Amino acid sequence: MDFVKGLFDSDKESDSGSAKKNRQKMNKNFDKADKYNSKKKAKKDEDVTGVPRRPNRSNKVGPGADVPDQSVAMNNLDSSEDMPEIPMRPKSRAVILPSGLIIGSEDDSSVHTSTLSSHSSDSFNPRNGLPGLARIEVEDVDNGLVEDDKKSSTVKRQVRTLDGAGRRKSSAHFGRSVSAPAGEKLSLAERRTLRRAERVGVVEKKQLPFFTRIAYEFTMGIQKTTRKIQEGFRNAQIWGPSIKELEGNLGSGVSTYFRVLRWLLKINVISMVMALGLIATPGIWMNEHHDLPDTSLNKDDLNCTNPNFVEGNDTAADVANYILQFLTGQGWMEGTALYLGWYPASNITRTSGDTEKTTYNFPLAYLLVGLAYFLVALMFILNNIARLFKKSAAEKIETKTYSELILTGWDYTIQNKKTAQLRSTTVIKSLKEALSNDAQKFVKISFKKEIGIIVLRVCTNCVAVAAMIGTVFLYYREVVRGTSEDAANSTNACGEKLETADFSNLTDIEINEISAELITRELARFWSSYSASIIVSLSNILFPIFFEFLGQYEFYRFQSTRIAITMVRSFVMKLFSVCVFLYVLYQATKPSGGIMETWQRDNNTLLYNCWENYIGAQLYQLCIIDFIVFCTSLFFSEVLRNILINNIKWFRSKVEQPEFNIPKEILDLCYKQMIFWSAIFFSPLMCCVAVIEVIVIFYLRKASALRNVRPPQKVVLTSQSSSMVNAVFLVSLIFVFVFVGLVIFQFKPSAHCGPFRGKTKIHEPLGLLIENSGGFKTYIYDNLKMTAVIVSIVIIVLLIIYYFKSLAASRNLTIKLLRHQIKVEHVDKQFLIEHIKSQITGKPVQEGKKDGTVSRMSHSQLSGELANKTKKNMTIHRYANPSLKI
Amino acid sequence: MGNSESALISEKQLEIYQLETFFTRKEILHIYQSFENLNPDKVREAFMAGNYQVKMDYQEVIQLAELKYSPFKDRICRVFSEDQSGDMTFSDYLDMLSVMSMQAPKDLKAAYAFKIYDFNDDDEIDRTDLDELVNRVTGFRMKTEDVDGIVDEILKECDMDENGTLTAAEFEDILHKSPEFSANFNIEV
Repeated sequence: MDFVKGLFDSDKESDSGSAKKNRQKMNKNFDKADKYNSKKKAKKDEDVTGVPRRPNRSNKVGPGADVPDQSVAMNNLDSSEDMPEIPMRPKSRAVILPSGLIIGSEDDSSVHTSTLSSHSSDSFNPRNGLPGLARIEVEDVDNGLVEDDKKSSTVKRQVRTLDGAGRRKSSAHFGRSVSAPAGEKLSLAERRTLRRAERVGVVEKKQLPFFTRIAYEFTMGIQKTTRKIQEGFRNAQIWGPSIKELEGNLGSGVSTYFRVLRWLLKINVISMVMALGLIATPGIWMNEHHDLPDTSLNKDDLNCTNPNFVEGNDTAADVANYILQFLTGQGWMEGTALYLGWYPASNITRTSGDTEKTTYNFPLAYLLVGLAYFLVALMFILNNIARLFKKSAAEKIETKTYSELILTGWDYTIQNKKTAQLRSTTVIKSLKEALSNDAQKFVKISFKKEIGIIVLRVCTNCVAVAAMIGTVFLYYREVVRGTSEDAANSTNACGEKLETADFSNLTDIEINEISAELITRELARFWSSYSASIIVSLSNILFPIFFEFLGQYEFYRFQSTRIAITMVRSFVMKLFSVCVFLYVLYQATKPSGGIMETWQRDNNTLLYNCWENYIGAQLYQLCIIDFIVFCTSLFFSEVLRNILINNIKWFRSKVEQPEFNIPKEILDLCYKQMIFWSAIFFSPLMCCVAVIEVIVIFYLRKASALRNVRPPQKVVLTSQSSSMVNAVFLVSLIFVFVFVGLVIFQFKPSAHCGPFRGKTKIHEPLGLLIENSGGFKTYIYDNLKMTAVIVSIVIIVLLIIYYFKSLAASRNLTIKLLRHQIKVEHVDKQFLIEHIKSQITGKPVQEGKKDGTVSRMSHSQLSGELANKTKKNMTIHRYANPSLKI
Repeated sequence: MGNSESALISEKQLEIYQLETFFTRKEILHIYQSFENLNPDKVREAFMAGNYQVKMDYQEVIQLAELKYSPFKDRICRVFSEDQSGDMTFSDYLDMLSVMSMQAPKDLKAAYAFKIYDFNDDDEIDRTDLDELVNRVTGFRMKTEDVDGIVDEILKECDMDENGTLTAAEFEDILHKSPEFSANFNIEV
C-alpha cells in the first residue's frame, strides 16, 4: 500500500526526547535513502553518458561559480541542501552573467544557482518533499504491532508538522521550492521501492524507552480523538450526496448555490435552537403557570388588527379565515408564541426561605438572544471571509483568463455525458469571449460614439434609479394607506356583522348581491393588508429582469461588466426594498410623530395595541408572500417552460431551456435571509419558519434543477461568487442590524404586551444588569452609549483595515520583484549553460533560444548593461530578503 | 455497507488506510464499495483471500462514473497506477481518490495535476502538452490555429522564465493562485 504522506524530519519538531530520537532515526533514514538515491543517480548518469542533457532541465549548472548574494536569496527560498553533482571542472575564469553579476573565478565553491525549474530535488529532502508525495509501503502488516504503531505515529507527526510547516512556508513567500515529484524522475513505483528499503531500517529499531513510548501513545491518543471529532463533523454534513449529484450534473458553479443554502441552514438551525431553548420553552412554561406575578397580559391586547377576511358563521368561513390569517400572520396568529407580544414580562423566580431569587431573567434573556442571532450570523460570515482571504485574495495580482480556463478549468466532478459536453462548449465559448475581449481592448471608439454611449449610460442609470424610487414611493404610500384602512376596517367590522346576522331573511338574489359586494370589499381589504408585501416581492422578481434588459442596451464592452452591473443594481434594489420596508415600519410605529401615533391622536382610539406584533406580522407576511412568489416563479419559469419546450415544437424553436443564473439566485437567498434576520427579534419562532423554508427551497430547487435547468452558459468562477456571497450577506446583515438596533435603543415598548412592557426602552434590562453588577462595567456601558466612542471605534477599525490593505499592497510589490528575479536568474542560467557548452566544445558561444541576444553581446556591450542591471538586482534583493520574513 | 466490508478489510489494514489517506473509516468502506462495484466477483474473492493487491483493468476502472466522461481518464489512471499501465489496485484507487478529495492540500493536487497534464511524461508541460490539453478540454472542437493562439496566450500568462515550457513550479504557482482549482480538481465517490 502506498500512501500520501511524507517521512521527513522537520525543524519544527518539539524538543521532547522522543522527538530527538525520532529525528535521529529519520536522519539515519535519510542517509540510507541518500545513498540509495545517489546510487540511482550514478546509474542514471551512466545511462546517459555522452548524451548532453537538455539545458533547461539539467541541474548540473554553472560549476565552479558562486553567486554570493543570490545564494543567500536562494537559500532563503528553498534551503536546498544537496548540491548538484559537477560533471567537469571549468577553467577558472570570471564569467559575466547577463544580469550583470560577475561570477567568481574561484572554483572551490559549489553552485547555488538552482532556480525554480532546475532543482535537483530529492524525495528525501526534508524541505522539498510534499507531504503527499513521498510514500510509505505498509502492505505487509505482520511486522509487529509496536513497530507499526510507533512508525505510524512517527509518520503522522512528521506529516503533521511538515504539513503545517509546508503550508506556512508556501503562504509565506512566492517562488517556493519545487515539489518532489515534478523535479525528479522517479516514478511512483520506484519511490515505493525506496520506501520499502527504508522501512527495513525502521523496523530494526530498538524498543523505545518507556517515557518516549508514553509520549507517543499520548500524542497518538490526541490525534485519534481529533480525527474522530473531525470525522464526526464531516459525517454530520447534511445534503452531501444531494450536492454531489447536483455538482455532477450541473457543474461546481451551481453547487455553490446549494452550499450557500446549506450554510444558511446551519445559521438558521443555530438560531432556532437558541430561540426554542432560551425563549420559547421558558416563555411557554411561564404562560402555563399563571400563578406567576404576571397579570398584565390580556389576550385581546395582542390583536393589532381584526382581519376577518371572509364573513360568515359556518365552518367553511372559519376555515377560510383561519387559513388567510395564517398567511397574513394576523388574527389568531397574533395571540401565539410567534410574536414578541405574547411573551411574559416576568422572571422565573425561586423562593428559598423568605427571599425570592430570580433564576431566569426573561426580558434580559430575550434581549441577549435577540442580539446573539446577529452575532452568530456575523461569526459565520467573518469565518468564511477569513478563510477566503487566507486562500486566495492575498496573492492574486492579475487575472489569468486563459490558463485558468484551460489549466484549472476542467471540472472533474462531472459525471454525466451531457454535462461534460456542455462544459467543453462553455469553455470554448469563454475562450472565444476572452479572445474577442482581447481584441476589443485594441478597438478604438470614436469620440462621438463614446460621448453617445456615456449619455446613454447616464440615461439608463437615471431610468434605473427612477424606477427604484418609483417603486419605493409606491409602497410607502401603500403601507400608509394600508395602516389607515386597517383602522377603518376595524370600525366597520361591527356593521358587517349586523349584515351577516340578517342573512336568513334575504332572498337568494339579494344574498348574491350582498356576497358579490362583500367579495369585492374583501378583495380590497385583502389587497390593502397585503399590498406592501406584494409590491416588494413583485419588484424583486421584475427588477432583475428589467435591469438585465437595460444592460443589453448600454453597449458594455465586456459581457462580464454587464453582468456585474446588473448584479449590483439588483442587489441595491433588494437592499433598498427591504430597507424601505423596514423604514416604513419604523415610521409607522415611531414613538413620536409616527403614523400610528397621529392616527391615534386624531381618532382618539388605539390603532395597534402592540406595535412589536405589528412589525412581526408585517415581516411574517412579507416572508410568506415572498415564498409564494418564489414558488410560482419557479413553476412558471422552469417547470412549465420546460414542459412546453419538451412537448411543443413551436415553443422549442422560440424559447430556450432555462438556465441556472447563479448570482441572481444567490441574491434572492440573501434577500430572504434578510427578511428572516429583521423579523427574528419581533417573532422568535421565525427561525423555525426560516429553517423550514430553507429546507423546502433546497428540495424544490434541486428537483427543478435536475430536471428542467441547463448548466450556466458562462463559466462562473466559484471563488468570485463565494466572495460575492460573503460581501452581500455581510452588507445585508449590517443594514438589518442597524434597524433592529434603532428599535431596541429608541422605541418605547408597548404598555400591555411583550417581555418589555412597563419599561421605557427595550434595552433597559441590559442596562439594569450592568448597573447592578457595579462600577467599571457601568462606566464602560455609560461611555459606550456615547456616539463619540462608537465613532472612534469605527475609525480604529478602518485604520486597521487600511494597514492590512497596505501590507497586502507591499507584498504584491515584493511578489512582482521576485518574479522579475526569477526571470533574470533564468537568463543567467541559460547564459551559463551556453558558456559551459562553449567551454566544452571549444566553439564560440552560440545563439541561445531566448537569450541569444544577450549571449551574443560582446563583453564591452555587456559591461554597459551591467551597471543598470546590477543596480536593479541589488534593489530586488534588498526588497526580497526582509520580505521573506514577513 | 457495514460489517461485511469491514470483515473483508482487516481492522489493521483499515487503520493504516485511514492513517495514510485523507479519508475516514466510513469513507474508506464506502470507497471500497465503489471499488468492488467495478467488478464484484473478482474483488470480493481476492479480498476474502486477503489479497489486497488485486488489480483492476483500465477498462474496468473507467467504468466509474466520475472518470467515464473525463477527457483525462487515461492520464489519471496511468498516473495513479503503480506500474503506469492504467491498471489499479485498491491502494492505487484509494490513493487517487485521496488526492482528488476535498481534504487533500492544494500542493498535492497541483503536483498530480501536473503529472496528469504532462502527456509525454517529460516532467515539463511544453507546447505539445498544452496543445493536447486545450484539445481535450474543448473536446477537440477547436481549429488548430485557434488552439495555437490559446497556447501562446497561456504561455504568455504563465511561463515566467520564458523558456517556452511550463515547469512544475510555474504550474503549481498558477494553480495556487487559482481558487477554482481545488473545487474543480475533485472526485468524490
